[in-house]
Amino acid sequence: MTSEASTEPTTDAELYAKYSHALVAFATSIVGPSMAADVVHDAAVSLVSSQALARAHDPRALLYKAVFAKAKSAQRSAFRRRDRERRFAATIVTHDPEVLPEVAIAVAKLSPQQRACVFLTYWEDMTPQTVGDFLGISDGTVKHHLARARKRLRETLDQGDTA
Amino acid sequence: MNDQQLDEQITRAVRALAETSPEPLPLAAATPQHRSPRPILVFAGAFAAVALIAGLVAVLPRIGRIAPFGSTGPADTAVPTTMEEYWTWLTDGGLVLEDNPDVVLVRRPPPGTRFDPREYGEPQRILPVSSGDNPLWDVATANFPGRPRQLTPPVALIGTLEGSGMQVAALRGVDFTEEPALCVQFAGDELVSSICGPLELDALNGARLSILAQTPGDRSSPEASFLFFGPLPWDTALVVIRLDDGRRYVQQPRAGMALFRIPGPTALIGTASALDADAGTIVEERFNIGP
Repeated sequence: MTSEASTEPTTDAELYAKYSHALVAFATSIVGPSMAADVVHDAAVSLVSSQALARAHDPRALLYKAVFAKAKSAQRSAFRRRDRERRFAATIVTHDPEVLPEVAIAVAKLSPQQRACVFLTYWEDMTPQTVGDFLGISDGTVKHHLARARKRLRETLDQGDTA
Repeated sequence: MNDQQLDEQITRAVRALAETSPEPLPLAAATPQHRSPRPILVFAGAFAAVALIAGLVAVLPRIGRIAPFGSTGPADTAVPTTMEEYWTWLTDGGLVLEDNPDVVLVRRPPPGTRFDPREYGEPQRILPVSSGDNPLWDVATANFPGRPRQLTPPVALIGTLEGSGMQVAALRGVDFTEEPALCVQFAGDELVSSICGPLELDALNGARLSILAQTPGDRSSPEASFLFFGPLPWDTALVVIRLDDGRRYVQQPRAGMALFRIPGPTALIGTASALDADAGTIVEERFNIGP
């Protein structure tokens, strides 16, 4: 989980140092571990180059928005989606044997938006309002994504129970 | 499985993912960044595509470049991989007309953008359909060039291009090889243009743009051209047309489709781009469509 430092970073480098680990974890939830560091780095460099980070009212939220956008772009590979889903699911399963394989597969098949909402809600303990602020969407949309994700995961698990 | 067990499994899965995350890279020295569009597909590619579907071209005179349509949206779901998934997404939340159950009014709003679309050109809009709207044609009389062997109601009525009276609608069916097929039509009082084919996954995934054009060379559209885009990449938030003569048009797609009216009898030569909600270029293509 994340925790706030008592002193807010003031420079781009300090911001990056403070939030990059959490951002990489967030990116991992969308694109998997192999691309996450690059996604975060590219997003941060873009923000630094455009000086957007320095001007931002909420630089942390801006960093998440930028990483989310980059991650979605990176996800867009047209023909490798299913292979990526398989590898993604395998990552979850192998890392925690107590995670049901059906859950790992179902999580891997969620849309990037749904995964982002699930991650920020379940890992960062954010409220729908905060998730919405960080992803640039309304809290209603966040709730919608979460509800659909939970419904999908529940259906998957229920199918597993009856199989 | 109860809610608590579900939450526990989700938390475990998310934790497992987070714990696999790598170390961040050191922040490189910032350098000016420019968006780099994907490689533009040149005319040759476009016309090669036309040649491949020459049979359809034969029944659609004056069509510059054709591709079966599809849909996209603010990707609130995973990109569909089957016609069934796609159709479910398209009609989800739609309104079936009480007096005509063969028609479903698509209710998907245009996706939002985190920038002002007007910065990119003159906006055109597809207005949502209302319960008073009816398609200009029905399933029984629909005359789709390349029509599948069997069409299956309902017609999904998507919207009307503002100021033109042109409707956009979709219909699904089964083609002659028993494969699922999708038809899209944009139609006005006199002008009808349509295409049918399989759901094109590479278009939904952002590998290319599909363009269907109706030019002034056709008697039914003497004063304007119409450009239809679909299936747009799944996360398209804005379609931008930049003509080489300097004119620019933009539209926020509705149900993953965009339809433009381009005034004048001139040839349409320019570039079309699909942008995501952050103005990032998803895909960009040149087009060259004669009058």
